[in-house]
Amino acid sequence: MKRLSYLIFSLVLMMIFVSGCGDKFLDRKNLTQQDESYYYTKPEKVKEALTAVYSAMAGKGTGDPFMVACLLSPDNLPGGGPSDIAAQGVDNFQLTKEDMYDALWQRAYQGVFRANMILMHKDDATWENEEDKNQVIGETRFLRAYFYFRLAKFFGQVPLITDPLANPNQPKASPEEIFTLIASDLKEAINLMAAKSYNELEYGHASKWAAEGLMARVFLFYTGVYNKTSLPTYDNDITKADVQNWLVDLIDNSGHALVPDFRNLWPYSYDTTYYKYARVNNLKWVGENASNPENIFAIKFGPYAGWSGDQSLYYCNNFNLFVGLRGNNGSVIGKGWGWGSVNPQLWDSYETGDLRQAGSILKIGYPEENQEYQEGNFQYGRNQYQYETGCYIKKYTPINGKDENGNWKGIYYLMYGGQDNMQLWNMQDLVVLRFADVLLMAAELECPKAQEYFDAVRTRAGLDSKPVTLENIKAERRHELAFEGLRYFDLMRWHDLQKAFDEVKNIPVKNEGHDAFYTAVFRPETNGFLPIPPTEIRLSGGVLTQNPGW
Amino acid sequence: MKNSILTLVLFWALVFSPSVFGQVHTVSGTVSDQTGSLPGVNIVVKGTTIGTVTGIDGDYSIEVAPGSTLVFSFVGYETYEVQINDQKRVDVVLQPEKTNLEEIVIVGYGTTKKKLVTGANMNVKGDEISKLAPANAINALQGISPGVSLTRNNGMPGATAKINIRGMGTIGNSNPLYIVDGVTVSNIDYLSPSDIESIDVLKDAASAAIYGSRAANGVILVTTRKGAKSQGENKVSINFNSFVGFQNVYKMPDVLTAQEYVLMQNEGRLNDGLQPWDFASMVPDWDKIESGEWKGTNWFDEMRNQNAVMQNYSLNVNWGTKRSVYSLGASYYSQDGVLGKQADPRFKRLTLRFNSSHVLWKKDDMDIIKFGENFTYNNSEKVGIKAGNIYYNDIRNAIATHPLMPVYDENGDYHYAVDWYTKAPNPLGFMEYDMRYQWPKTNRTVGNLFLEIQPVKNFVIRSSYGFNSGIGSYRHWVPQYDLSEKTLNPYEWTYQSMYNNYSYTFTNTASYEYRLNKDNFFKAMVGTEMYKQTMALNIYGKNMNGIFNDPEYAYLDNYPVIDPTLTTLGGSDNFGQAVLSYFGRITYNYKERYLFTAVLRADGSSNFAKGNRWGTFPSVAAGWVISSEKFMENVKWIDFLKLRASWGQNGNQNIGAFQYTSTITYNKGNYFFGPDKTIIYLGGYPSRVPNPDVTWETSEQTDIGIDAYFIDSKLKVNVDYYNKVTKDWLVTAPILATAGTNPSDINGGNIQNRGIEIAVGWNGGNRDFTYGITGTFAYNHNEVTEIANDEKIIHGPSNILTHGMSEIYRAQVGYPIAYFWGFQTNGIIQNQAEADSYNSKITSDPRAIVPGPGDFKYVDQNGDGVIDDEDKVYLGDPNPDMNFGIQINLAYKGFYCNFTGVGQAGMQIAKSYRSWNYPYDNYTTDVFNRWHGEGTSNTYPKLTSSGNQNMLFMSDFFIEDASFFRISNLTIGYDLSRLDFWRKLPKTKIYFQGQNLYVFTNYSGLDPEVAWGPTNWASGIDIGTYPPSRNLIVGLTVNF
Repeated sequence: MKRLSYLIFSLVLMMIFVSGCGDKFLDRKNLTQQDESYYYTKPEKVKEALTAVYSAMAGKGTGDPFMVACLLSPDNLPGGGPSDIAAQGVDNFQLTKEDMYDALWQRAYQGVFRANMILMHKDDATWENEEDKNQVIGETRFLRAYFYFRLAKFFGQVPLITDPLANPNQPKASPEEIFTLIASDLKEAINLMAAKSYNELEYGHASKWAAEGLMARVFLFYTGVYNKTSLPTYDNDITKADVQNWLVDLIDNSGHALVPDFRNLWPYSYDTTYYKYARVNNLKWVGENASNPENIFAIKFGPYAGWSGDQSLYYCNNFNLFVGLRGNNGSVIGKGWGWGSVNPQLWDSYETGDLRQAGSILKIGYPEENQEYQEGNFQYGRNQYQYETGCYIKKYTPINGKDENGNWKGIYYLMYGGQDNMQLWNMQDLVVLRFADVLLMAAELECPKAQEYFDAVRTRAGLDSKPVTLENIKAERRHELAFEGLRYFDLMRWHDLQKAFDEVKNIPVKNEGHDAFYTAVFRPETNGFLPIPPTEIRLSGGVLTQNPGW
Repeated sequence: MKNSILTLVLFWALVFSPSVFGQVHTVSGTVSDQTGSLPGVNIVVKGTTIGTVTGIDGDYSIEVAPGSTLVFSFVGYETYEVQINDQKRVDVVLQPEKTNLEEIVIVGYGTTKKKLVTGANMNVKGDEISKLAPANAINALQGISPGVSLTRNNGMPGATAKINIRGMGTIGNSNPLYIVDGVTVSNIDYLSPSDIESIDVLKDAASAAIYGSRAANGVILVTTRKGAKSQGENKVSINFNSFVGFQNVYKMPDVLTAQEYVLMQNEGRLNDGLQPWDFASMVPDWDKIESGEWKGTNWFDEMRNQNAVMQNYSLNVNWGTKRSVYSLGASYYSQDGVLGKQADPRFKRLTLRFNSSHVLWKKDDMDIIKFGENFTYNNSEKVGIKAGNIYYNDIRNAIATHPLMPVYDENGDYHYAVDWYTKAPNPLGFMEYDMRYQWPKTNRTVGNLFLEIQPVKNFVIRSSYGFNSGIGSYRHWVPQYDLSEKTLNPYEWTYQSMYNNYSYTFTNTASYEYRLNKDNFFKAMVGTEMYKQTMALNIYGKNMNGIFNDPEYAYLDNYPVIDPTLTTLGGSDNFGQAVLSYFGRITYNYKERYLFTAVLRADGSSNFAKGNRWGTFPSVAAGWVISSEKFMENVKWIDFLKLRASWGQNGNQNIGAFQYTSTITYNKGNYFFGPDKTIIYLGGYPSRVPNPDVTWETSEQTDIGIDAYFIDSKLKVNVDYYNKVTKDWLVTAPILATAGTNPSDINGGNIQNRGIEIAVGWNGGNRDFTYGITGTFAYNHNEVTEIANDEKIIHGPSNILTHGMSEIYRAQVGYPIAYFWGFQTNGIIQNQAEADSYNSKITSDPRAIVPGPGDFKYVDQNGDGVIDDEDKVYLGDPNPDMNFGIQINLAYKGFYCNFTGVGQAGMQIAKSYRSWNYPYDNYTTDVFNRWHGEGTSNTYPKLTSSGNQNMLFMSDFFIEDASFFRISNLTIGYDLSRLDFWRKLPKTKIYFQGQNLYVFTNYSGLDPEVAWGPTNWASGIDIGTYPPSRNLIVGLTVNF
């Protein structure tokens, strides 16, 4: 028994000895990562956090709002190759794989979460300058509104998450609730941000003007789709007159203006050596910086895209890649996956003399195009190209230049470097809001100078004045803003979707070079909205319900 | 803390004064068996640690007190005891052992007699491992250890294996815990098989419970070789072992020749109503293909390395003195790869080992202070080829690349992609450029220092400080290359990295053996353990456009230009993972008939937040040696029969650090403001939804077993039944996207593994001829029983078998983990009438083109007229239901023979060697079974010229049963010492061995053993795997 007591004694001793280190031994300091509990206490970190909200805007394929909006629109056919069944699925209101739109859904909520985090911690940091803080909070509110508006446009009703730490399993909110948040955020953004001329701000940031312009778009969408006359906020409703005032403020005070030649907005105007169209029309690209007064807000890209490590595919413009011509080797017009062939009816709908026709669409056989895009020279069906119409998106097609060795490389790669890879080198700004759009919205909202605004857009396109009627505005928007992700939602708010799709019948196409016909499918039972990813519905345990028609 | 250790040691040294013992005298003699003298026999004074070993002629001498008992023991022989009164000479003839019940086995912080074990342990001797000549010791466990499911990851030199003890128990890290001489290590690849004395596998919870915290996946205890004590002069035994082997590819894939390939391509065109291809304009040397003169390139054949060499040299020296034992090992192993010769895959391993222990203070038969150390140093180099997913796999590239391209162009350079398919690079060039110029160097030192103090008899305090330290570097150079329009590396680049890590395991135990009286025996042990990772540094850099353009000069210094788009840098220290433990064990037996063990371990882990750190893991086990009972005395055919039962809990804490907080990440959160797109703005956001409640995963296991020997101990049977439930499974379960960021690990599920393990052995023979047969069989049933989200599913990723295919496997409640999930097919539509009938029932088929003759009929499981994900069902299970093995040993007058066969049954493989939306990929000859007209096939759909919609949906088409039986080893050897003229020379054996001689299987792929899966919980996905080779070996062992 004496020996047993040794044992117990030694046990006690060991306990004391090790407990001395105890929990301290198990405490571990994080040496390579910051923590949410203190991250938002410094202004420079809040700015970093804001950068990450911007970063959530870009998408890819069926997760790219521009690509999806483009495919949904009756002005575009699926295109792509045989394995791009997703493109065909979007165009036909069909799910070719159950979580086709998961990225579109997820990316928006990532943006919302990051914005919510900033807003939750908005008073944690001590700012030297109240104006800086207001700008950052204003931009954050603008972006949260942008993401919720994007969700509301594509999916209709969605869960409304404003507290990043609350239970994310929320039922779908009503359109009123969603648009109340969007409108309140935008109004707050307009109030918070300073009225500086656009070129005093760092390019790429949201401005007071961007918030005013987006407010008009939100107003038109909400009042149109849901047949309302005003837009709710947490205090006073926003009326048409309020929106008119904001638009006039934007037009008069922002410094934004139309670029004299519509075609100089797009990168194809960059190359006047090899690109005949640019050469014969004496085009000169305005570029993507303060020299371009027309872009009010755009999604921006850089040369660091890639598959490995910290690289992200969202750092490059995937819309360029996806709409680029399939199998288009060695040419000033770059290569891509060939999604979103252009409906030839759109080409035909332009008025004679409208510069925007050939300025927006690359048409095989158009005399001003290069030799290789002339009938007879152009080879259809490359890389099993499907639904080819001979009309291709020109605004966002990848553009090549020649490097010092005479090889075709993406022009952005030539300007900014990055990886020598056609999948990664596209960096064209994706324009969310353009001054021409603001003018047309101001016309549609019956601002005092509606006719003047409307004519400014037409004049630039080389056209004469027309009375500013809704019918004329509809046509004008279709032609001015083609492939900019707006057409489908314009049709939705005008309740014109069914009518527009009814016209897309028996369009002659070439499937892998062989003649066929294409008829678009629209399923009115969906109200034009997309399905919520089924996995999300299952994960919600029935709290989320699927949208009608899906 | 250092002071505390010193104080502790001094305290124990001072408190206890040793007792005094009686007068001693010297006893000497020789030990032999029927055939002659036996060197190396252990002789101990019973109840003490005083002892010696016999010399080369079997002689010994030892000092003994009158009245004590000498115990003679030697592996493979019955232990012999003799009481010493006043004899001066004792000669002993040992009898070969019938059972190994008296053998000492390791149980974790201690040892016990095999007879008294109450848990499901398994012991494999180092000699058994060495004789199978494995590259990696752990691989030798395959088939001879029931319950250890071992699947080789691939056949690359030095490749490791995927090991599950008693089934896949978690979706996280499912590796067992490895303990080498008491030191926690992550694997035992650094050891040479020749350095291993024994491997003990602790399978049930009760055995593993003493390692509580990290033992949920079982424990593998490794003991490295130790020396043996000798009385008088130093006795040295030297063992030299060497073999040289030649490896060859066991099975070639049946890819199409150029002529066959062209036929299939044109058939696809015709099926689509298109003109045949104009090959002449796109394929070089088309006339030679057309005439049949050139069969095209067989890329797989071109990358073969015939008679690839493997070699091993190992030297073990053991010696001992009265008070010290030493063991020294040195070995070198190298192996070339059978595939990918252009990239020179290779494995080289040098290990040096030194173990010793010394009695510092000895009083009579009692070692009062003893200390020692075990050190192993490893230096190795492993270079492989790409063997990952479909985008990173040289083997798949070699199988799938079309045959219409020559290997070299007229300049002798790798041929550029041909016009036929401008995206397909030359797979050999692609492999060589990317993989050839790699120089990995790893240095690992694992060891421990220990001190044992025995202040009073049978009371031992042991303190051990173990460490695991690694230093390494890596250099990689890739030249500028251009192989296809998609496969180019615009700048030559160099990557250099270095790492340095260190962890320690500091263990203190006190144990006491207490015999209450003749019948009641107690043993108790208490201890503490601290494990900490004190360093895990890593630094790396990559830069492009150097000044040399030569692999020899591939150092970052030779890249003077720093360019943010081309230069990468990183450095981190994953410092601080820690586990703190308290544990204790009590064992009791009554007359060695009724056995009882209880274990309790409490662990704290730094991976959890304060308040959730501690977990307590209990276990109890009991044994009943029925054969010792009175009523069994007359049952002559049963020599030994023990019934065991155990229950216990183990833990798992193996998750990433800081899961309980929300850390900020910059990953993919950056953006680009301003006119200059090259300026990158960092964007940070909370990387996950924090889970402050995350805590231990617990695996609870019940085990019932029988150990028995029958018929004069010729027949040996072990049977175990177990039921293992892993609760609160640590898992990253998908959460709603509305959360806006990544989920953190949660305790999110339960998984159950139930099974039976049987080992049956028969030994027989006579003086000239002995034989032994051992058969093992293990059955395991795996089922996920809970996943803590509303969907009850964890999804697998997309693009696995072929680009463009969505999820093919998942973890789901009610199914085995990682089961294959997809459409069931119901044959092929044979004609238009059938197509119409199918399409009249199926209103929506996700194939963009309406199914017609030659297309699959998918089964509409729910009958709603729509083929969608609701119709996807269980297609197969990659986890084998059964593992089995057979080992036969024969010996006749110096000749000996070993046969080892291993097998698995009841698992399926998902296979595709080509991407079905790349129509230009080559086929294997099973394409000849395709549908090409009514009645031609009901399993393989028609060919198309473009991405085949039938093949872009996961279906049972891709699933094959992969049951197999492999003749993994056949050895024939001869003991040259049997020859008269050799008698004076060292004891030498020479042997010939064949490895992987034949595989019985219906599986059509390269090898049915496929461990690969894109996530660590998946397996059985064959997209082109480096297959195991067939090896022929000649070897030599010499004993001095």
